[in-house]
Formats: sequence, structure tokens, C-alpha cells
Amino acid sequence: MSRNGMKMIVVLLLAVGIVTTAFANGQGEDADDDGAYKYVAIAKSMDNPAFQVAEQGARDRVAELDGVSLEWTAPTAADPANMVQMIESYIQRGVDGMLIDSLGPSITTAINQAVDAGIPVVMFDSDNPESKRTAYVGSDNYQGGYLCGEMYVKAVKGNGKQYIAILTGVPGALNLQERDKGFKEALNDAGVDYEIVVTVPGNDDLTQSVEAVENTLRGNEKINGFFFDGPWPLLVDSSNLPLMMEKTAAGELTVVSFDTLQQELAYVADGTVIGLVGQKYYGWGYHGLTVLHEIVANGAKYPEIVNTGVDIVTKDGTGDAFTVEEFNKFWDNFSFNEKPIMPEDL
Amino acid sequence: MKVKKLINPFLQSAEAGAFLAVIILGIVLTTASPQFLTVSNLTFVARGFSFIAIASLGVGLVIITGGIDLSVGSIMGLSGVIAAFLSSHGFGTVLSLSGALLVGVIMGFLNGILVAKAKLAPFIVTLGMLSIGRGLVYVVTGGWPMQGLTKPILFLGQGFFLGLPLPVWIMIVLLIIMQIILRYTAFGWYVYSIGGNDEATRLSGVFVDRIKIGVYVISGFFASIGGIVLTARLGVGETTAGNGYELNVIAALVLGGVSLSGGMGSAVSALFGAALMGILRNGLVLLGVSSFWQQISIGTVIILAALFDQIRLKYSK
Repeated sequence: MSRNGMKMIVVLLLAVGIVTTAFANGQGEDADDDGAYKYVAIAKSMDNPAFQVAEQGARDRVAELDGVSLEWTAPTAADPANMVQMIESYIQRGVDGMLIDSLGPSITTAINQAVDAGIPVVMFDSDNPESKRTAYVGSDNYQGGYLCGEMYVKAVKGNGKQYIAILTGVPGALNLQERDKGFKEALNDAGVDYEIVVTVPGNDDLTQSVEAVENTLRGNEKINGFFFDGPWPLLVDSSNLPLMMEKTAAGELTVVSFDTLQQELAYVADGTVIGLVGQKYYGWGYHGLTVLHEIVANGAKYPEIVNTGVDIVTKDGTGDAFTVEEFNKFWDNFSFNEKPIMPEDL
Repeated sequence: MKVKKLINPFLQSAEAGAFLAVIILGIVLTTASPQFLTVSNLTFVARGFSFIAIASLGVGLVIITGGIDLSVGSIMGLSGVIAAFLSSHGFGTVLSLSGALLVGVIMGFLNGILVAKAKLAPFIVTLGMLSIGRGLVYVVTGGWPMQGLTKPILFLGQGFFLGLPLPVWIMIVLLIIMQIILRYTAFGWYVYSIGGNDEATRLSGVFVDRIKIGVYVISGFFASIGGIVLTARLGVGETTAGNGYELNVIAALVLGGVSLSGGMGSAVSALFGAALMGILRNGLVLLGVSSFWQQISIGTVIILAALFDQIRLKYSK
């Protein structure tokens, strides 16, 4: 064989060898101690702070249990085909249970493959009801929207007719539609005189959402209420939302929003937003892992849908609500005071 | 001396790098993970990368002529939802498939006309088409996953034949067809010739524009097939299906030794490149590598492949 040919093969061998071993070893921190029970959690994507909290919740629960190890992962992009491939690879690897955030009906067959291979699958955040999944752990979006509506009703009592705009994410998303439905139902139930003037999409994009809010307010001066069915505009600095800030400060606009991410809390503290209702991101992981482990290790029976409830944040924190200070502390410690949900609690 | 005679032509072929990498990676993974070298795992891996491989076959042709096609991911997505849309509206298997393929052919044709006749840069044209295609996906679906594919279409993505998944069979058949086109037809020769020297080919009396339009049409057609099979595999016409796949396709081709400056590459390049990426993804999961690191490792391998190619070219001269 020629010297050059040898050289090339050696270079290639080294390169591929280095890459695979380096990446295989360089990530000991991702797998907890090897235990009797090996679980994997597959989130929708890697670029959302909510999933970091969910991961923390799952890891905290792992630490409370004996002999459990967890791998937390996600497709590199929110791509259903990629998620299907991951699920198939984990079936091959033979884990004891899976925690999956559904990217839609496309992954139904992959979930069924796992269940057929004897691996229990618990869904979190987004359910996949058509599949053979073992259980779903998450918040009731309709209930969350309804609570937003109730807060709105309380805030505008006796203020006359409400002209409300809704900011949504990607048009058609099921969980967002449920929130909108709950919101409207609460207003109907309270007998508020209102009109949904417009529903604007921000396509899950911060900049587009900010523009949508500002342009909507600029375009229709009648609007005196805004419901954000996701957190987007409140994740950026308030200087991006001059018109919204001006109108709320003048008492001409009532804003209520979904989600309780830390960046949003400042808007409650300064009175711009009257209240937030959020899913329990930490609970996705914490309760998701609890339910999965109880089913795998103890053969526990849970209802098909395990409702983790919601968190409410208002300025004064009356009733079930948290104050901004209390909730900020949760975020600072990355710990949200959850207790394991056992089958007998339900 | 004899060994050298055997090895040198191999090393001079464009696929050498990807082929060796696949072998080495296979050996490393077999020793590191007992689950890697099993029939069921390899079957899933092959099905997993078949969609990219199918689309790569078409884009490879475009790249060999010195062009680029960034619209394939969108064409895949659009063809998939069109197939789902037509089937769910009762058009039946044949009409649904024809409609979906036609969409790919039309988009490819538009790409070709704009590149060959309007002399626009392929990067710009197909970038525009990427956006148009994805937009049309949303227009068709309204953001909703579309269900209701007919049984035969679902079988294309989920079925098995002689123990192998249908998408893998489709990939193999298309690979053979493409290999024949490239090696044994005048069209194939012109494709390489245009990539080598556009103007010289024109002066020698070849209808360069027609060939160019042809390669974009074929690229759109193959992307359509890939998209239909992907959608059939998922069972649903998904708005995000194929999103960003153009980059996976180009990465697969580069890994397979296709030169982005044109004139070089083969159908087998597309297969090995896509296989390398699919095996890498699977292997990293089997080894328990986090998805953050997976992206980094795939990027590293792409750069290494290009580096290897450079070294190979230098020494094979």
C-alpha cells in the first residue's frame, strides 16, 4: 500500500475514533449513577427554559429515589421525524421507561412500538391520546385559560364593554386553542359584555409577538383588554412595548397572560399584567418521573390523565395565588415545592 | 504493488472517505454497544436515514452541475401534506401520489427555469422556493397535522418487504436508477461536464439550459418521493416535516464526497453520506451522548470529511 494511502487511513481512523470516544466520554454529567431502573426523558426541543426546569424536577425526583438513573434529551430541532428516530434508538437500547413530550400525532406509531416492546411510556406537557401511552402528566390547558378569564373578570368588573384581543402562538396549536376556549368560557359564565376583536398570531417568536401586540393596539384604539395565551411578549424588556406600557399605566388596558416564567414576573410586580397562570414545568419532570417510576417499579395504577394543576401569580398573592416575591424565589432556587403524586392521592 | 493497484483507485473515488468512516464507525459502535449490530437496530437506522438519502440523490445531481437546491426540505414537507390533503379528501392513492409528485416536479421546474433561463443564482432562487414551499405547507394545513392517508400510502412508509422497510427498498431502487443515469446515459455525462466547465459544454453543442432545468426537476421529484415516504412513515402530514432538511441533505452529500464546486460525486455518495449521519445519530444515542453533544459531533464529522476530501485530492494527483 502506498505511504500516502496509509497516512490518509490513519488520519481518518484517528479522527473518527477521537470524535466518537470524546463525545461518548465527555458527558458523564448527563447520566446519573447507574441504577436498577434506567429511564429516558425526551423533551420537544432543547431551547426552552421550561424544559430546563422540567429536567431539574425530574432530576430532583431521581435524587429522592434509590437505584434510578435518568437520561434527559431532546431532538436537536423540534422535528417529529428526529424524535421518532430517537425513540426507536432507545427501544433498541432497552430502557425501563420513557417520559415523552409529544411532537404531535406523527410520533404515535413510535410510542406504540415502545409500549409493544414492554416499555411503559408516560407523556408530559403535550399528550398523545391516540397512542397506547401509559399515562399523561400535565396541566389542563382549558382550566388554565378559565382561571385567566376569572382573573380578568374580577379586574374589569363594572368597567363596561370589553374589546379584547388575543395573542396566540402558531395558529391551530391545540393547547393554545384550549386556553382561549377556557378564557372565553369564564367571561361567558360571569356574564361579561365582551367582544373578541381579533386573535393575532406571534408564531412562537418573541419579535413577531411584540410587533403583533403593539400593532394591534395601534391599529384599534377601542381595545381595552389583551389575553396572551403564551408568554412571548413578556419575555422581553418592557421598552419594546411602549404602547402597551402606556395604556396599562393609564388604566386603559387590562392584560392577563399564560405562563409563569421568571421574566414575566416583573410585569406583574409593576402592575402591567394583572396576573399569570402557568403550567407546572417543574412538575412535568418531577411528577412525570414519579408516575413513571411508580408504574414501572411498583405496578401502580394511575388514571390515564394525571392533572398536575397550575400555578397562579398575582401582585398581592391572595387565595391560591403566589406573590411575585414567592414565585421569584422558586425560580432562583429552581425548586417549586412539589410533593410526589401517589396513586392513592388521586 | 498489487495491493496498491487495488487500493489507489478506491482512494481516488469520492466515496472513499464516507465508506471508510461508515466501516470504522460501525466497528467502534459494535465494540462499544451490544445493541448496535442487531438486525432490528440496523433496520431502524436504515429507515431513519432513507428519507434524507432519497432527497440527497436528487440534490446530488444539482450540486454536480455546480448548482445548489435549498428548497428540498420544503418540497418534502409540501409533497407530504399534499398527499395527506388529497387522500383525506377522498382522492384515492393514485391521484394523491400523482398530485404530490406533480407539486415537486413543478417547483423543481420553476427552480430550473429561473436558474437556467433567467440566470439567477441557484442559491437565491432555491432559498426563495424554500420559503414559498414552507408557506404553502401552512396554507394547505392551516398549521394542523393532516391525517387520513390511504392504507397503500401508509404502507410505503411503514410496511416491510422481505424483512426490509419499504422506504429502504425505495431508496435502493432510486439509488440504482440514479447510478445508471449518471454512469450510462448521455444526460449523466453532460451533468458532470456542466459541473466541470459550463461554458465549454455549451460551446460543444450541448443544450446546457435544458440539462440544468432537468436536474432541478429531478431534484424536486426525488424530494417529493422522500417527502411522501417520510409522511407515510410518520402517518401524518406534518407542517414541520422536512423543515431544515436541506442542510442535512447537503451535509450528507459533502460527507459522501460530493464537491460543492461541482463536477464530482456519485449516487453512492448520497447513500454513504446519509448512512454516516444516520449511524452517527443512532450510535450517539446508544452510547448515551446528550443531544447537545450530538449536534457538535455531527458538525465535527462534516468538517473532518471535508478535510479528508482535501487531503485525498492532494495525494491522488
